Amino acid sequence: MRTIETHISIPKWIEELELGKKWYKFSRSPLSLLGLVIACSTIILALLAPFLAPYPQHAGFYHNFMESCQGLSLKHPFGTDQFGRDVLSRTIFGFRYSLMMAGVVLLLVVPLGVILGLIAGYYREKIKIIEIVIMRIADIFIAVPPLVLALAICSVLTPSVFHAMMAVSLMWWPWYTRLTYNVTSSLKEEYFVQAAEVTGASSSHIIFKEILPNCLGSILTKVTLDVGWIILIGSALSFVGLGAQPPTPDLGTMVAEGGNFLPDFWWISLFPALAISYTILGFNLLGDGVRDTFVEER
Amino acid sequence: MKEMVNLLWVENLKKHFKTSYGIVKAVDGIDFTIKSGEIFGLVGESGSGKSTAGHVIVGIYTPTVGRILFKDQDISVPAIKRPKRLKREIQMVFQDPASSLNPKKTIKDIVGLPLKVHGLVNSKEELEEKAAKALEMVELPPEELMYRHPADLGGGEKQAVSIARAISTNPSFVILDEPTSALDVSIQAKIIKALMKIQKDLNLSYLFITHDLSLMRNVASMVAIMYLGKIYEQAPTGMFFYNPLHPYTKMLLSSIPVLTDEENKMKPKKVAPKGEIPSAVNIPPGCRFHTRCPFTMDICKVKEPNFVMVEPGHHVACHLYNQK
Amino acid sequence: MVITPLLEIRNLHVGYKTHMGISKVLNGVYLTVNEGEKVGVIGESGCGKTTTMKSIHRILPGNAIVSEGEIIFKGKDILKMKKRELTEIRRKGVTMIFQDPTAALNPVFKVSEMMTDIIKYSGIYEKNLKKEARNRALDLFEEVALSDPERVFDSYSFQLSGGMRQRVCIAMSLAGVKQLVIADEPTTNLDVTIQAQVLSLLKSLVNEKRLSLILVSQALGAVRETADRVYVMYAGDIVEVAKADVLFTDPLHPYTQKLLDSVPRLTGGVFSIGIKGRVPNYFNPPSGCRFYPRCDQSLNICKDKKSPLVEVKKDHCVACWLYRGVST
Repeated sequence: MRTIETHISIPKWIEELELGKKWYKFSRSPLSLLGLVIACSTIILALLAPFLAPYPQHAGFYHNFMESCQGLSLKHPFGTDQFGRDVLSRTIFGFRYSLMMAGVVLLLVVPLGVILGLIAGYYREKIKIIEIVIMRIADIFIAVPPLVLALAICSVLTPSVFHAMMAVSLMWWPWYTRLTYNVTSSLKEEYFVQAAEVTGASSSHIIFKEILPNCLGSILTKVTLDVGWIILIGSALSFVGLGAQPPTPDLGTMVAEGGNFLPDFWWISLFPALAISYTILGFNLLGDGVRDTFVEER
Repeated sequence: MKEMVNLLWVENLKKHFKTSYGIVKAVDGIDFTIKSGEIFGLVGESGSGKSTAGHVIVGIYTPTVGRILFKDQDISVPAIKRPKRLKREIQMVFQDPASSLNPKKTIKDIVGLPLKVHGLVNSKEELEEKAAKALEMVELPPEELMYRHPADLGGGEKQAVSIARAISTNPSFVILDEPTSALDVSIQAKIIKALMKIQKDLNLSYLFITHDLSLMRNVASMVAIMYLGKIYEQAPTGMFFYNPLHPYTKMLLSSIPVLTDEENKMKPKKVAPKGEIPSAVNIPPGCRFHTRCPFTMDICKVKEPNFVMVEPGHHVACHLYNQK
Repeated sequence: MVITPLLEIRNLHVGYKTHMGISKVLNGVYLTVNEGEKVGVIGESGCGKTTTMKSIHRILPGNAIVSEGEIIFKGKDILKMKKRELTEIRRKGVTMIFQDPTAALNPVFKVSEMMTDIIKYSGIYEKNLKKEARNRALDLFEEVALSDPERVFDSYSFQLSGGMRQRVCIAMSLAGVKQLVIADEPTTNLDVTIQAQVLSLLKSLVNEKRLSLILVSQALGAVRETADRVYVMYAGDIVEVAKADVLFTDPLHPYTQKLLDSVPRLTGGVFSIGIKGRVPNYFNPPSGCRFYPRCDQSLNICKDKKSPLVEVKKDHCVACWLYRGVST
């Protein structure tokens, strides 16, 4: 009886200790905390948009020309756009599309990139051809400026959110392959990997159970930092009309639409633009904090 | 007395690495045999190739030239091609306790890995039991440590876990690559004590790789000195320390800082330490040690000395003794 | 004759702030270095040797807290010094040789640039700095027995071997007019033949220039052969002080005895079992004597009260209750 208890309680206790340590390290920097607050706030806004937005129906097809292009007021704190839609409501919904973009892209890119990187890194000296094929393909994608590649792909296909996501994913995976490849190649020299090899453990055990857990810190850091970048690129695609199409309340699309009414009705594009900056700032600060916390532990 | 059976033969073993600045001849033709139940001390400065030799024997590297026989089986093939049974029998303890344990795993998983790989356990309970037994052998309290991570342990404890992992599969031969050089002396003493006890209990053979001659004096039954990829002197421990022959051995002995006057008396005089070990890319011609040797003769610069027996069991490669 | 000490550390307490609370590492360290004296400090890793040395230079990490104590260098407390005075001490008073010569030399600068900077800040030469610095550097390199000073002067640190790097570090630390050299494990990363050469070099340079030396090392033999007087440190306490030859033949504190026993001897013989347990947790160190949980001869009083460092024989101080019973 007693032994069972200790088996359950000890690892938990250790995990708590580890987390406590990590939290201490993280919370030492006020900027990281600010990043965490901002990132959480955007996620909450995105999740609860229908409840938080004062006029949820303004997110989609809606027009009320009576109220178009009204300035800031108590009723519409961020003003209204050319169709009389509440900019505040649309901006809150905009977080949804931006974060969804980042979420879907990362969900596709991270597993693929990481696995390729692990394989290339682990077989770097053993089976050279694997490394050469994977890394050179990755290099080709890395060599083209990301936005240009995405623009090219999106302009060939019909503009839509889905195609924008695919395009961004296609150019994003090599960065994860590169990162994991580098971490793996150095971890491969660690004695614990050699010990597992010497004792006869299978390659898949070594790659996924010995090496991968030690890469997670770096990967998590990159994921956090990338959220901001992907949102930026997604917004840029929408801005030039290759991403989300009106009337979708995508932040990039909104900035583009509002651009036509500058400088008189500046609020239409300013607030979505600020929202983009706010999100990117938050995730970048958070990413820095995550890096300080998880990477270079040893 | 038990009969000593040859366990490991190493014949003209060479390991060269191609690098951008030339070929590194890390190990350049060494021969030795290790009998079962013996502790063979391989001593040398950093850059002498002693660790590479250990890594080749355990299978991390494939030899460039030469043969390694373990229990009459040729193991001079890449580790992947070695029979699994032999992997179970040859284990290794690495130098750096911090890097030899995966920081993300629990001690139980680390010690249990070889057991799992070799199918020596059928259930979780059995794994736990056997891992606990291995930890007990190195005098660690299993109930306290099983579910901890390496970061919670001190250097000595980490190294003890590393030893527990090596002996968990009940091997017959363990390569110890500087197992205590990163540890404090008081902890080194504990680890060595545990290693000696395990060696007796399981009748293990060790290849003990180290730079510490004083430690070898207390541990090994046979000592070999390596310099720039070659063995220059080899003898049973007693003979080795009371009658060191090679000038390099003498230089090493005279460099050791000691604690007592009796030890001071053992140090050969007249051989002041001089110079540094050259790079293994540009190996000096002739006797590799001639650039630092106080007794260099003309022949040393051109001809490599043969490895000859000077007294029973005592071999040396030096022109000073070749001429006799 | 009254000898005024060059450096005197009194009752130094240093802790580190971490997420688990304050780790109280130094627990009242006393250390004296007289002019021209070579002092050795021995102890296991993690016992506060490096922390003590770093506090002399005031280069402790940001989370360190010096809660108590004084470090008097030539009559002035280093801990209370203003930035300017401290810089002066660093440039002209105390110098440090670190454990890892690879890390101590910046790989992006040539040895020549680093040497010139050091010589510049030592403030000996006002005019013709470049030329003088070169000459001075080459002289220094000859003093530290570097075989090819000209080549070393124009090299990057990674082009040098380990022994050469440490020699360069020693040359750098002696570039200015210094009074005290702190060598923190200067030979730990070097092979024994090179260690022997570096230590004898250090010893002869210190003797020649009439400097004082603090040699911190885990290599007990190295300390025995270099130092005049030896401090034994355990868990942030100085537990024993004696002349080097006395300490190694007649150690008094149980810790020193056990530590010396643990060292493998060239003469062979019985191997000791080491010291049971491990260095205490500094977040919650044992009350009283910090060694008592690992001590075989502990008395009741050890648990409650730490013994002060008392001279039990001539020039031989020990902090252990076993010897207080005898003397009082």
